[in-house]
Amino acid sequence: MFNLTQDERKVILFLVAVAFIGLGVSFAAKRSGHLKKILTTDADIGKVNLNKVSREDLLRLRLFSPKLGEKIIAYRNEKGPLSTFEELRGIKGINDKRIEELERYFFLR
Amino acid sequence: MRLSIPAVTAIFACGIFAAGSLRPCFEFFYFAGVLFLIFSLASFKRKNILIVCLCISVFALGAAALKNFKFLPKDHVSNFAYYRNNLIYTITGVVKSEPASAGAQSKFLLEAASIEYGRTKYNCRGLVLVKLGYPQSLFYGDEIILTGTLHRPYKSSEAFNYRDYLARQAIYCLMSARLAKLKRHRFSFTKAAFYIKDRMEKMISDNLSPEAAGIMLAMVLGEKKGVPATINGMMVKTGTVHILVVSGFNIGIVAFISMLFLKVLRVAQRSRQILTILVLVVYCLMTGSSNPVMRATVMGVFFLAGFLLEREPDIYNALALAALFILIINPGQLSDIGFQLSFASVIAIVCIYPKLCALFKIEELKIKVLKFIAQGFLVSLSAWLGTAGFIAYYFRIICPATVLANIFVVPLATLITLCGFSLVFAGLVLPGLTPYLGAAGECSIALLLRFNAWAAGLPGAYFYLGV
Repeated sequence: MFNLTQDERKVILFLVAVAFIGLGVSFAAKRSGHLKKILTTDADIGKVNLNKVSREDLLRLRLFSPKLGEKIIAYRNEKGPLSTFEELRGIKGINDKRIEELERYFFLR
Repeated sequence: MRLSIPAVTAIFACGIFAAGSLRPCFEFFYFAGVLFLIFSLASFKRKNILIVCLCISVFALGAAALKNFKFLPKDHVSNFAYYRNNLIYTITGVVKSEPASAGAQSKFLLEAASIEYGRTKYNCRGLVLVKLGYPQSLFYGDEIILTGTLHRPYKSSEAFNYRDYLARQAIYCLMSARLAKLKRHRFSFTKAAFYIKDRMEKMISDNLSPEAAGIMLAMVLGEKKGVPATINGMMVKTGTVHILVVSGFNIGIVAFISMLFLKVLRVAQRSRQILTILVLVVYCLMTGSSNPVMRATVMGVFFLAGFLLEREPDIYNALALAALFILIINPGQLSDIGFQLSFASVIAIVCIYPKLCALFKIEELKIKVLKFIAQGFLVSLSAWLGTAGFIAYYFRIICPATVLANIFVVPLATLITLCGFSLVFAGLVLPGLTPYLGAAGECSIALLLRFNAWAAGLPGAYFYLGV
């Protein structure tokens, strides 16, 4: 009808195929909470385990000053693995804002 | 001996590089360039002498261009600033970038027109990087009056020279503004492009989760503010962070969608090509005119112009023209990492990929899927070979997992980018489809991040060279 080339027809087929895939994903996510976890982006993905991160990797993230990063690593090495971020409040420079940042970018295991 | 566009670009770039380390001033290079231009005119009929004189003239032109770029006039706004200063300044100017919010602050570039401190007002010019202490509704092109402190940027650290980074973008001072008063709104073509970008951002953000929207916005619109630092770090480790940059692939999709849409509207072919060139320019402005986008846009316009003029386009000439275009506007970009990586990867793909295909006899593969995977692998390998040295030098990291990771990540990134553009297009034409296209994009991004997290965890996936 529109005298479309082969590539242009492939584009339209692609759009229809993606719409079908999206419809299937949308239905599956509504149907099962477990499937929803697999098919959607996990907010925790990319977060780093603060109990296992190396000094170099922590400094490379550039979320803290090098001095504060060193204090966190030293505290962890001295007291052992952390169970909550609140344990770091004893360190000078860790306030509510820093705790929020820690929760946004790290997890504890 | 021939003087082609790639040769002219290379000589121009050499001039810029040499001027960065040579002491002679602008006048020396300028008059040397003019002198050799006169010699080349005088020896017009002697081809070899003409070419040698032209080469030296172009070299001198590149050097003079950099010296001119670095030279600041007396009324430049940075001449009123110091490294440590508590004076309160009032600056009038025009917003020259799309304001970005960072928490409770707004950050944008201002083209200064006048500066006032004490009781004296001076006319001035130059760019100022402004941090406004509170979010305010400002747009590109608005004329505003700012009050705050002004100072020059510091070097920051040995690993990263913030002062030089800003200088490459012609920014020599920073302002911490406390108050902004809007003088008037001004309409401009760029402002219209940013308005379209805002609408597209909203369409994507409304149909995906915040993390997925952040990644899709980076891939489709070059907006990286929504990409978490940890995901960015994870992608650096697998050498796949290049997918978060708008590049030639995006330009190709925009051109294709534009041509298809205009064809459906029965627009004549020549008009389609001209309108598509305009669309590419708007897209380039919308995505912030970064080096990869500028390169791809110039190359895209070059190819479309080739069709319009019924001339066969050449990839080397297109690439060289794109580099020359960027360097003429801003010679300082030659030392920018983004510029170097963008052109190194394309040159490597253009030069190395055909040789690798011939070496491994890819064209003789009968199974289409296998051929597709093999071609993808060789493109990734070519790009890696061209950029590994730069990445090791600048980022102090080597990623052996890059080639393998890119085989899976690049097709997924392609799908995500196509979903993103389809989502925006459907938002205009068939809004009912947007939730499904959004769900498909969300699923693809989830797969991409999971694969990246797995690849980053493989033993030997990356090595840091020192801290």
